[in-house]
Amino acid sequence: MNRWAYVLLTAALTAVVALWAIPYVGDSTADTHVWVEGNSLLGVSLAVHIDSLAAQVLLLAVGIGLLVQIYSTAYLQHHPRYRSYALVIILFLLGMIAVVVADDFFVLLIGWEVMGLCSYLLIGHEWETPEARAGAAKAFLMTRVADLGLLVGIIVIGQTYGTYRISEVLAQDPKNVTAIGLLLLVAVVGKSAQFPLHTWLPDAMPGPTPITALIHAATMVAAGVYLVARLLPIFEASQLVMTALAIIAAITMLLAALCALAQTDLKRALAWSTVSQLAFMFAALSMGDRDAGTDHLLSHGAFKALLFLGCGCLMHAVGSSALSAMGGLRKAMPVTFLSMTIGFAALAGFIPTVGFFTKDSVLAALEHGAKGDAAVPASVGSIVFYVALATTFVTAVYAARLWLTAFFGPAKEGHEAPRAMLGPVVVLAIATFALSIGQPFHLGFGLISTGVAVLATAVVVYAWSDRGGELDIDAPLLTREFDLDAPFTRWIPAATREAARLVVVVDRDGVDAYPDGGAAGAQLTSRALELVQSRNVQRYATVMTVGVIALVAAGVIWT
Amino acid sequence: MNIPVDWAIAGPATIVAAGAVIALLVDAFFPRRTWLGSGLPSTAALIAAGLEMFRLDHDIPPATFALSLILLVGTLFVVVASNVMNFENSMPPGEYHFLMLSSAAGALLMVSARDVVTLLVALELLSLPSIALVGLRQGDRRAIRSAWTFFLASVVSTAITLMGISLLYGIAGTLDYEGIGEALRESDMPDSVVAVAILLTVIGLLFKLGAVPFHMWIPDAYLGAPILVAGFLSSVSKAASLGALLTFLAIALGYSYDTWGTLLAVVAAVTMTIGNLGALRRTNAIGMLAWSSVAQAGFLLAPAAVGVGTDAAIQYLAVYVLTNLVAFAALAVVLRLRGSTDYDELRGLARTDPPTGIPLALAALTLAGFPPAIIGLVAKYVVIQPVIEAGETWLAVVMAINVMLGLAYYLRFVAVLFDKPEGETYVSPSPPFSVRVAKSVVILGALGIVALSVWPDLLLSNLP
Repeated sequence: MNRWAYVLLTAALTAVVALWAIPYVGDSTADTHVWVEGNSLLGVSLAVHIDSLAAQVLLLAVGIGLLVQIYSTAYLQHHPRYRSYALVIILFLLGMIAVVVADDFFVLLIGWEVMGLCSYLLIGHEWETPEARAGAAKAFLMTRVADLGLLVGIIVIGQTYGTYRISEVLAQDPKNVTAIGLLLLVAVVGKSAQFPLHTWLPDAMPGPTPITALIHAATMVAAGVYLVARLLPIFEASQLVMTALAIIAAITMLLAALCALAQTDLKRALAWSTVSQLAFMFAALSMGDRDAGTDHLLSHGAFKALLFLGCGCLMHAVGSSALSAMGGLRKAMPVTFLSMTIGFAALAGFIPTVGFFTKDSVLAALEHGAKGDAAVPASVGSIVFYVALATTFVTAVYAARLWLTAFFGPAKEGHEAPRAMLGPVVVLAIATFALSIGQPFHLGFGLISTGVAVLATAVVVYAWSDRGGELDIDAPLLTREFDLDAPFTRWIPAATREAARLVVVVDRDGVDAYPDGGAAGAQLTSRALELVQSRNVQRYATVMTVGVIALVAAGVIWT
Repeated sequence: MNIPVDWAIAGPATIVAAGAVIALLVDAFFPRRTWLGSGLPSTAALIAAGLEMFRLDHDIPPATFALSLILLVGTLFVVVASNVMNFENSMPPGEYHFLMLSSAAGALLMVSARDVVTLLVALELLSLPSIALVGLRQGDRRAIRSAWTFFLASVVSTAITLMGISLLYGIAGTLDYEGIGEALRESDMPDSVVAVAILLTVIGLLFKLGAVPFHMWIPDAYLGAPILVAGFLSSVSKAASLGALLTFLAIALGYSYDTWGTLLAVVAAVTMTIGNLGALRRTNAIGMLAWSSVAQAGFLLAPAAVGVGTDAAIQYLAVYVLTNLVAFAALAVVLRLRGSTDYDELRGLARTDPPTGIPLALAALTLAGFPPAIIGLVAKYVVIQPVIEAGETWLAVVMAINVMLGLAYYLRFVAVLFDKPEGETYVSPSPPFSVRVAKSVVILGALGIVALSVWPDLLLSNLP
């Protein structure tokens, strides 16, 4: 029963954060409070900054954190290491809170790194399996390497602006923005799993499913998006950085959507979908539209958490996340079915789910960019816009495919998950509708994207009935995920191994020769000294006399 | 004839000399020749001399004060730890303490000397009793042989110093340090004559210090002497020679730096290298420490050789004296309990006998300048820094290499101490009082090292 203690702890954290954050939601005021002013000895000030955006991201993080914690009480019911698991989740949330409210770059960095550590611990929670260990190490290493960009970026910011306080930096005129922007971009690309540092996210799937939901919806990857949104004035000041962001987003969204299309594993497909959806947010941000990007962050957080937690329910029923093990579960698991249908509808962008509205906002932002109203060149803007439209289509296709394969077909045995798991799923399903309230509505894009989604779904349903309930996609390039992991799994290790071998050779034959020779020489001299030390006083006297004469002679010649 | 006596200089030495006589008399008039009987007056005399020194604090130059303090504390350490030898019937305690204190009086006078005759007399007062101390153990042929070697080296060194001094007198017409300094500055003698005079005098002091190539008597003398006498020679005697050399160089030869600077730097470099190389293959703790003390003499000379490092040398000296004495006293305990200081006998000492083994390991780490003995590291920094500041990069590089060379054998020694003991673990029987006294002195010294490691400022801002 003490598993609920951690839920209570999380609930307390959630309550505190909610009480603090809710007044700011939708409010245009921003508050900065300095707890400890940074001094000359320690340039770090403990300061918090909160505005509407921060409040929303905070609520998303702690809300999903609480749901995940409740869900875990059933999902990981008998896990022997439950305590560390639950406590690391809380630490994870604290790290995210630190990143969101920090008004000092170093505090932000600490939160950022705490999240990196927690993701490592949680992805590798089932460390008995080699995949979990490998996935955890990969996530840690890739994000860690990218984090260097943040660290160096912070140092450059400090040198450029003379302060590490974020609000003070943003209040100044942008300076040195290209260097800073590119450095921060490296960190963001790593943390939010964008091309080319995206491969860690699908490989993090051996982690427990609630953790996947947490990472994909509320914490880790959201931090990258939030950082760009928070520091948007700095990014915006440099066309180069914004263009780079737009291109990365365009590549990532289509590539990841295509990868999601060919997956045979539900969880991995959803992971690729996250990569793709994050790219949507970055695309909107790269057009300078902060609201569109962050709205999609919140909406995606809700429906992706819903999908992952629903996926966990399916896994609970069939014991595997492979699509082949599922199918026909519609009757056996009606609540899960309905909830996940809502989730998939949101992913595909059907009205009236929140996904529909926020996706249209993103598309509207991209269209502005295509018209040349943004920092990026109009040509880049239009490319991104059309790529995004294509991605919308692919997204609807894979959403429909996953939905059909998991729930339709010949009926299968199954059972609903316990209430502690279903509850959060249902809450999130309701949220997926509820969040739509007050979202901006774009008539033109609404029609276009609905058309695209309907068309895509129709194509999939037709193919499905045509091929007799078979939706396997035989595209080796997609199944191999474009071989984009090769640099990290093969080339870099191989090159490093070769370099290491070379270093060993150089070290042994080149470098070691000197200390070895030196040591041998020292030993020889030492032995020679032993011989001289013969206890023969006459010989001593000789050496001394020679020494005296030599020194005096040297002194006389010298002067 | 009225001879003016500056008691600020002569006071502590006189008290120590008086203590020596009292120790001898006590021993002579009490039929039971005990260590305590002559040891207590000696201890009292040393403490009294220390108090006298603090009373005269303002009249004594800070460098001299620091050096005298090092000498007094060092001698006190040796005298108290010497109790561990009370079981040796062949060691007469009265003579031992008399000689030890006479030597100490000579050492004190030597660092306070401000004219060359006083220097020479003090040098002899330090040397002759030391020679006797080395050969004091009755019927020990090896000790007598060592004393003989030491004696010859000493005589040669005195002879050379005397030659140098007589030449200096010829050039300067005075025996006073300051007078010599003035005279050398304005001298119109040929440079070569001046150089010979200066070098011969300095070489005489280098003999005592055990710098290469005048180091050969050191390993023989240390190995033959009673162990705490070796400790005395390696610390107090060496400190006195260095102190006298530093004072002499600074006051009398300051203007002729060009003559001796480079040569002294070369001697320092060679000394530390040869000393470390010699220590490399030792498998006996005393032998290792003997060679290591040669190497340490090089480190002590290095800051002096660049002409500005008097304070640095004294600070290093303070750490070196304390550490070396802890090591020798601990080895004296080991020798008493186990009969040998070979590495084989010391294996696992830190596990089987922590109160002796751990201070010993700490001392070795301090000498090596290796953490956790921070003060050793600080001391190494203190002597290397002036060398770098003076621009003698090559010497700094040689010093750095020698720190590494030193690590090779100090760490090996530490490894031996922490190794798994072979065979049956030795359990010392309930040790007699004298051994306990020695052990507590060892622990006290080790605590001193720890205190300095925790708070190096204690040394750096107070000495000198």
